[in-house]
Amino acid sequence: MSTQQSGAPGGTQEPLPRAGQVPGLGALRQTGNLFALAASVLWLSFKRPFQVRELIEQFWFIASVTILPSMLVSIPFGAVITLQVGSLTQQLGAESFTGAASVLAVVQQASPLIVALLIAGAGGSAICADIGSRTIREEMEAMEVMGVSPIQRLIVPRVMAASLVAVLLNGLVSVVGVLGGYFFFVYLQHGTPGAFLASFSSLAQLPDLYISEIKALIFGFIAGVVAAHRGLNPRPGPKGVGEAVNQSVVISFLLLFFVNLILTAIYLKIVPPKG
Amino acid sequence: MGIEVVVEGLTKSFGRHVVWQDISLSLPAGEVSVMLGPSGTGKTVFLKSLVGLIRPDRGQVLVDGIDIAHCSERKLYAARKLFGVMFQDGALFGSLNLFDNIAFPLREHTKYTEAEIRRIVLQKMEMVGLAGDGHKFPGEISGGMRKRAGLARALVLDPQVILCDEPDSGLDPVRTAYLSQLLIDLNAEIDATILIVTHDIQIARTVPDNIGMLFRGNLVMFGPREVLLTSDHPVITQFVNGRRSGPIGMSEEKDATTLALEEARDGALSQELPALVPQLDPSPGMPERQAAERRRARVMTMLHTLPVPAQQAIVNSLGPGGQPDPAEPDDWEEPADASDSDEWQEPDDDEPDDWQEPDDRPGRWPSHWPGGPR
Repeated sequence: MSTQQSGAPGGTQEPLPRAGQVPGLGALRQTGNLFALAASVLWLSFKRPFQVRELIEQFWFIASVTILPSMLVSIPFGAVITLQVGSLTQQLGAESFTGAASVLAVVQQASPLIVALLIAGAGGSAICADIGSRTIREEMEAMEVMGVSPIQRLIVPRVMAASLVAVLLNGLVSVVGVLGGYFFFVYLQHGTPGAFLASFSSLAQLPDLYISEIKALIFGFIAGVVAAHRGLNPRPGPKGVGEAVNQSVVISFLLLFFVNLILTAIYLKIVPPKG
Repeated sequence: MGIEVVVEGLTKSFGRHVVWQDISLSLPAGEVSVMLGPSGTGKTVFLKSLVGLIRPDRGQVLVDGIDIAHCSERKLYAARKLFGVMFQDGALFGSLNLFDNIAFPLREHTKYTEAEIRRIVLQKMEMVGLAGDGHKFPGEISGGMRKRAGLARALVLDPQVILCDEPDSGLDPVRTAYLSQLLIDLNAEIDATILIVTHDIQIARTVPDNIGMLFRGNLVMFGPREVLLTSDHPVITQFVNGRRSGPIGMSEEKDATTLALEEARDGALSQELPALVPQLDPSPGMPERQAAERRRARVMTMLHTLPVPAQQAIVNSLGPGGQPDPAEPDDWEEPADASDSDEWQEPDDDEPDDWQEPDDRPGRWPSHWPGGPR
């Protein structure tokens, strides 16, 4: 311990040497932070103590805000695809394949995306607002100071809940979407129920369902991580939280469609089409 | 006994703005220290870098042999269990009531049964005067209560180092005095190292063993309380007197021309400081502060290195009879407030007495100055 009197207060201050501001560096840094957060969420998912209670609460919350809207969205979506594909196939004279085409489109593309959009829009925005307001109230720092990792305590259960709800919801949306398509095909376009089902079983295969569920899992994870990342890094003040929620929805939508493109391309390359 | 916190060459900047640079000091084990500074000098940033919430650009923070500034995440989480931090606004969890907030560290880190947790939490709540308020939510209570709840939560794990971020902000002078007394009692009871970051001069004059001052990104001074309180450093005299003329300006810095103008206008202001008031003693019934004895020994060994006024002040404070007797307060009616615990109702600190003395001392705290009695 020493008593010290440093130089006069008017002493010159030299700014510390810093890396020059390169345009785009900020975006790159944010991307890096996002990936780092995703990695630590994955890593901490397997570390004890696991927050079972928080997981169940979040699971229930996300499921309750997404089930009804996603079903309501999936019925018209399945119908639209069936109608569009049906009118096309009629022109081509391949009516019997309407069933296969619409079911594959619903299961592989529409259903995971509907689920992901609703999880990001309804669940993710709520997660982001919750985490963001806690961050600006210094709750996260307080938790860290108490030796509790906010990522493990709060973020992991939320991301996990989002992924699990996405997987389960995807099953529901697929069924509802296919039923909606079937209904419109049979009753509005006067197609034959047998043709719908037969073409479906002749062209669709089990890996189509697998990729659908894998997509849903990944989309749910992305929506959860993006929401958490924006929530953990808001600009200060209540306005910052609002902006963070906005950004979280936009960023997750962009990422979802991009990742969907990549996953679809990979799937079509590695899984040979049936028939 | 608390542990020593050693800070060496700490530097932090946000972008091009240097918050502070090359700060070296050491918070002696078990003693109470105060870090003063005008608003916006990075006091809170300093406090946060002590617990690793903000990683400094350079320098190290040594606590119990661990460099907080550079250690791994895992070691950091382990080291943080040594700390109790009281945030400016309490930083309570809005979704939990006060009881659950204060029980949170116990539930996360210990295997106590619910009954034991209840016992500890209720004891700490009583200590900070919140007995019976456990069911309230942070949104429903006043700022002062939130602060006290934040303090109770910082205390449940029996920390070795307690950091308080502006315990006075948003509190009335009376409550600030109670809080000051509480911190001193706490130090006497658990002998933890305490750092208080504040700009409240009343706290700085009565509570700490050591005082430091941050200004313009530099540590102006850090040392025993007598050194700063008797210093004639222009920044310190301006700050301690709460004056406009001096190196501290409205927007932190003042240029040389304004300074010269002020000097021409005000003439040579007396550089006199308010007289040194004695440090607070623990409330009756509390154990002696072990830190006081240790500090006395430590200060005596470095006495010859200190400036003369500080030497005199220290010698005076150790004079015949040691500290002046805390006189009994005047007959002052206690408000019958059922929610306040005994600790909060003790009027036994010597401040009220001090303020009511006749105007016979040169540097008495005048009533029209900020932080004055009324």
